[in-house]
Amino acid sequence: MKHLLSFVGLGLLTTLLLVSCGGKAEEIPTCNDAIGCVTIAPDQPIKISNFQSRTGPLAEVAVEGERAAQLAVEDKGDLLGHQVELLAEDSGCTPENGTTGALRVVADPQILGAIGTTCSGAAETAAKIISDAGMVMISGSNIAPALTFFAGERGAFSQPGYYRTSQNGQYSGEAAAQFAYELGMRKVATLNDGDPYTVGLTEVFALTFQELGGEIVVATTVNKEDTDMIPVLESIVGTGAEMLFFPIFRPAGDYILQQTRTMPGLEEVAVMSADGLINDLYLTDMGDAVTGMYFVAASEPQDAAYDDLTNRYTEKFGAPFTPFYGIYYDATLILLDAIESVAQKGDQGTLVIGRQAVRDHLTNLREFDGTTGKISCDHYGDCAAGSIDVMQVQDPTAGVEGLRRNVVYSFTPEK
Amino acid sequence: MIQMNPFTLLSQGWRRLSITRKFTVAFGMLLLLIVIVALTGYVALATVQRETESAIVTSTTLQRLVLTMDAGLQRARLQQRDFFLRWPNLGFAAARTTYADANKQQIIDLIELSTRLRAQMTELNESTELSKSNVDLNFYLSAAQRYGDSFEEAVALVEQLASEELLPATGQPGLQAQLAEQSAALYALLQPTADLALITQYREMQAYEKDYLVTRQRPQMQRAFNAAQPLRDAINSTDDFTSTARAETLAMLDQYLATADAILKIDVAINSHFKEFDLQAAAVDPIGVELVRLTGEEVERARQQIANTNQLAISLLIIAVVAAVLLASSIAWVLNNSITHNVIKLTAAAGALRNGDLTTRAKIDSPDELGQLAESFNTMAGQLQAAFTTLQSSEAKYRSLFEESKDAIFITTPAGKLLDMNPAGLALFGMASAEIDTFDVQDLYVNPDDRRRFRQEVEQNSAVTDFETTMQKQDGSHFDALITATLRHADDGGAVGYQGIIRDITLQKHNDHLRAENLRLGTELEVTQRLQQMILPKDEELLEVEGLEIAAYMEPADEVGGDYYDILQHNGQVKIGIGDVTGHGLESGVLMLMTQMGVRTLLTSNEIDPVNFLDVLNRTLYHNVQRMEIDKNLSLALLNYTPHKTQDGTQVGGQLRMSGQHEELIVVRQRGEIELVDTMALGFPVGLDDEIADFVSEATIELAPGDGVVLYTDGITEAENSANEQYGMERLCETIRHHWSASAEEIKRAVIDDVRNFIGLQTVFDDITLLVLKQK
Repeated sequence: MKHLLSFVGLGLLTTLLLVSCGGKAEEIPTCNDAIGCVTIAPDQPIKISNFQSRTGPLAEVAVEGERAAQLAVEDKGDLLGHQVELLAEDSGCTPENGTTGALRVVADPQILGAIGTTCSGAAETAAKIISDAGMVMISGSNIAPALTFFAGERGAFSQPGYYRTSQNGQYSGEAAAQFAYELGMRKVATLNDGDPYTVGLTEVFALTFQELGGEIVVATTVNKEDTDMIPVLESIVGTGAEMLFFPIFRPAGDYILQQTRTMPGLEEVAVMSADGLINDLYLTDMGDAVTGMYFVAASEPQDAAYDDLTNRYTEKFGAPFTPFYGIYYDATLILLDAIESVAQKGDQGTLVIGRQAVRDHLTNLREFDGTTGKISCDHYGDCAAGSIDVMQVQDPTAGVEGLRRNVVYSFTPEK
Repeated sequence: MIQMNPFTLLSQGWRRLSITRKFTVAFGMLLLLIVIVALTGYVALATVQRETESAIVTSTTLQRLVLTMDAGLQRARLQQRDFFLRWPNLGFAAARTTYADANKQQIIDLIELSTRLRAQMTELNESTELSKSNVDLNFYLSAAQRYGDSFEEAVALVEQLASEELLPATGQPGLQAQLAEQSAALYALLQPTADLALITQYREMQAYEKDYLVTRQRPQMQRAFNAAQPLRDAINSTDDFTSTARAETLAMLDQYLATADAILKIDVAINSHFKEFDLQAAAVDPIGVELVRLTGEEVERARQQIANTNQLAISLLIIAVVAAVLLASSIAWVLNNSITHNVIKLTAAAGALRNGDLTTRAKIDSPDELGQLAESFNTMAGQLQAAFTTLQSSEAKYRSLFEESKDAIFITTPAGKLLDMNPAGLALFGMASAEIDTFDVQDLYVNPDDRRRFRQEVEQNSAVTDFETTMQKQDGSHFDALITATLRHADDGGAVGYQGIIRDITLQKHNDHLRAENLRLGTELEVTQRLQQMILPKDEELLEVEGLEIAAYMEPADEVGGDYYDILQHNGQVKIGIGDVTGHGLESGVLMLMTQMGVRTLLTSNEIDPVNFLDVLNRTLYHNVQRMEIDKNLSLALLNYTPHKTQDGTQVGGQLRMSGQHEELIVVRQRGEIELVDTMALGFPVGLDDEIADFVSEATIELAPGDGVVLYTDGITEAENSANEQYGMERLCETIRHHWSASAEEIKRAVIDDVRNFIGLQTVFDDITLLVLKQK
């Protein structure tokens, strides 16, 4: 029996020794962040949602946004010893799509932030859901002023976790109105489709244009799915409108232009839209109807860094269709920079990343060297660099590139 | 310090144990084995029970939760659909009570189920696929919550649009009711004017409005708005309104349009919710399906786990049984090796020893009782083997001497009974070993008295040496023998027999006789050989022959040859003879001597006729042969040489006249041409018959200077090499032709050398004789 007890004792001692020799536990940094932290184990990636509109009218923009984010992640390489994983999620282009997509994003609590959405309509709902989950969302194509800053006030859909490297539509609206007025227009009709992007732009346009002394003779709304634009155009006929400003998407944008061109009484009316319709397919599909049409959009940077990015993008993915790749590249860079800057690292590689710290870093970002220029964020979340251009279509077959070459007006926002 | 592995230590410890302890340990191990098997079975069954229960409970709970959730979600959707489809007919209040409130409760239940499911899944093994779908479940839960909120918002919007009751917020009924009231009020204000244009404009606007409310197509409402503008213009321009009525009518129109615009906005908002529901359904439904699939897999996994556990239990039991068998076998093996096997080895060793194998040992390496017994056994066996080996060695030594002796060794009794005789003795007397007992030694003596003398001498001197006697073999033949023997004594000193050696000296005596006879015959042959050599012509005799250059050679095969040759001159007559007596030895040599004597006698008696010459010689020799009673004769050719001289005495060649039968005569001309002269027709063998005159004839050969003849016996042409090939005429002629320009002596030497080279180391079986005669 004594021998038996000795054997049992020896076994227990061996077990204890094996356990105690199993390795020293990692000292993981403490999380003191106000809204929580993401803890990433040494063998786990840093997760970022590539939250783009894979469906909807801006799918082309979305594709370029996704690719630009991918390129930025590849250029950056491993972050603090961790791979960066881009998780693609469809944001759609409407508030409803944004809601569903955002719920999907926040379902994974390891995600630090989302690059997107493509459309302001989706951002209207998605920004709140994502922000409420403690994450950040940085868009390179949201224009709607209400997402950050509108008419001197915080926008109706502004969220503490929301940022964008795209231009605030506030400035596009102002630029469009000033151009219209300088062009000699005094009566303008505006059409929106209820989307915050179009509503915001038309509202800013109206305010600015009226301030300049112009008159908004019609300011009305169409539904995105409407195909019969005759009634709304009939409401414009006879109002003396010299320009129709409709910063909306396809396909409603198609019907409005085509039916305007054939509507008696509107033959001489100038037409103007914005980023949402700047793509090769629209110009091609509209043909002669689009000739002479004006577009207001953020200007394309003209420097070596941007050219280098364009070349590398073209080499990897082919020539871009829209200018948004650069803006999305910068959106991804500033998020990676924020994560890298605020992450606390354990002695065995575990990262502890404060969510509020990421936001604070972005909000306080100044003069960051982006490919689109020096990026500085304000406390509304606007981080865009650069100016606004108004361009006119001379030859639809020249596509977006031809349009970009024919800048008829430039506007530098006063932030 | 020597390091030993545990097995070695264990093995050594086991070997040190006594047999009793070994049995104790072995049966203790068997008891332990039974306990292990029992414990293993218990553990296996307990594991099966626990794992089975756990797996079944977890998986079925998860599956039930998911299925319940999925069913709840479907019910919520049906309630949602029914609410929006039926409120226009049922009325908002009834539709909300029937569908919306039920839907709200359904969503609450759904969220509660989702929360429970998520909690259950966190307890799952992380390796399962279901546990990895936690992100999807998070989405499912948040989507359900969002769906509940969104549905409530949609219901609120519908309430704003369609409530028949006054809303607390506005104190008004729903917008559609308001629009209807405002439309009616507007019509009431327009109707008194009796302005048909106004009524028509109103009807147009109202028609578009109604179209919108039916189709919910925004352009219809836009048309209503567009129609409102001419109506407004008409109200402003008509004279049928008082200013108050105009203002009231325009205000009502504005209210109407504002309400219509609000309806548009609410419809957009409601439509937005519909889209959101559809999107969420599209997003959530696959998750529900996936969860159902995963929980199904989880159930299957649970079943598999049960199967695995059963398999594990069976495996454990099989392992236990195999281990038990192995352990039992090991114990049996150990017992067999350490006890049974040793007993068997000891028994086998004893059996082998009993059967005479003194080299056998019990190979038991154990310190226990069996090991000690084996050690004692081996010691005894070793001692026994050493003693027996010594004895065997001694016996073998003497037995070898007895068996292998060339002399006959015997042991007899005094009475004459043969007790033993070695193989050489049995062979000497021509006896078989089985016949020993039947012989009486007395019968082995040719002279019985010799036996008596032998016994007397041995018993007197206890030994006898080289006792010579004549003994008799079984076949009756006698042989001379020498006996050397000793007396054999019993323990009491009395004679019990004789033992000794018998040596056959018959051959020794015969050899002694032969040796004496050979000595005598050798002396005779030597004399004869000397006689032969003495009568051969001397070199100076050969030189004296005028006109011929002569070289001669004779070599007998034995001491005494049978060949004959001679060169004789008498009264200017040169006689050349050559012959070959059949056989060799003394008789042939004597016949050759007689032939020489006969030839010289006839020459000296001036017998010049070759026929007479040979006839007389033949008869002389024939009669001597008869008298000598020998079967001998000889071939013999005789040549008379006469030189040719010119008148002034100058020699210009010569003539040979030849008679008698011998080998072919080789005539060689000056330039080496060869001519062969057959002698068969010139005579008959001499000494074979009394009368040969009729057979004798003569041949003449003219010799020019440089010509010559060569005479020889068959010892040359029939000389054989190692391949049994004969030297032959052709080779002889070729050698002669090749050297003919040389002197006769050189030609002779060349031929003899060539024959020697041809024969090599072969024995010369016949006499060799060669005569070369060359005309000067």
